Amino acid sequence: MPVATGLNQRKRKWLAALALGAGVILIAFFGLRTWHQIDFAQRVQRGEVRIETLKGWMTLHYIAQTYKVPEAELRSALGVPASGHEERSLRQWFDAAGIDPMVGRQALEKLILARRTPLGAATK
Amino acid sequence: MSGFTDQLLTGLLNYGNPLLGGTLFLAALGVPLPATMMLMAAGAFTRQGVLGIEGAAMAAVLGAISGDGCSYLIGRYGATLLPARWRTGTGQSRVSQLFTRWGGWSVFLTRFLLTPIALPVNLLAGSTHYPWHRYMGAVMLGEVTWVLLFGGLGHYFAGQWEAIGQMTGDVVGLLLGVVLFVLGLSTLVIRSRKH
Repeated sequence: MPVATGLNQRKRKWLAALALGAGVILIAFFGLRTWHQIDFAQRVQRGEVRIETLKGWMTLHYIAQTYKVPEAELRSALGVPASGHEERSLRQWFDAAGIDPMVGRQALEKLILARRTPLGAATK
Repeated sequence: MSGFTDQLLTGLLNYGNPLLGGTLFLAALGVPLPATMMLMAAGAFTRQGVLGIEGAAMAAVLGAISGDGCSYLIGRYGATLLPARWRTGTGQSRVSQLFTRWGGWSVFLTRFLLTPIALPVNLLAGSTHYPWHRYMGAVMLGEVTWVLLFGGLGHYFAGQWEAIGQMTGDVVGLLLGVVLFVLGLSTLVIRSRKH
């Protein structure tokens, strides 16, 4: 019996040390990431970093709805057909139509700004 | 964000609530999918008028609860495939006793606070034959809290949901680290005091 108890205690000690080690690793990893996130958010707020408002996953229909710009005008700005493929994301449109993502984004942002809807404001 | 996550978000825009419910169902079964991020995105989309708030909330709760129910059943019936000595040893009976005592809280808290260990808790609940009605009661309360909390965050911070989602994920990881650290340290301290 003392042998079994000794084994159990040793196992428990190892498990506790393992939990402690895993805890330290997780705290260090996620603590650093959280700190970076906060730092990044502050840099965005200070205007040091500009984040893209139009993301590759967005569909033209979603952009139209969010920024209150007619979808036909968005399609026209990108030079893609006036209808069809409503399910395509922005990235898929860029790939399919051979549009440079930077140029495509700029064309859409210009259109949205021309409509005097501040980027991001429509979603608040 | 990864290409797959982008595809899921585009899918959420195109297919709406069925995709949301399906993703949360699979995530509860252990498929590595960004469930919390999808929930926050859905919350933001309800604010932007892309999804209906009631439908999205219902799909999220139903998907998550049914996934949890299935993973419990996997634990319950899957455990019978394990060798008998693993199922009937003293270790197993002690785990079972502990789960009978703390199972409700474990299930409830791992739905929205310590989400990375939700699946092991579900499997443990099933394999220790934790009462189904008590398990599902805790699951329902926990999942409704999760949906309200993270869906609500997405809805409230609709314009910045991606940044908030990233930070929330990191905070959950940090919290799990703190729990493990405190558990390990307290066990070692208690042990050294006993000797």
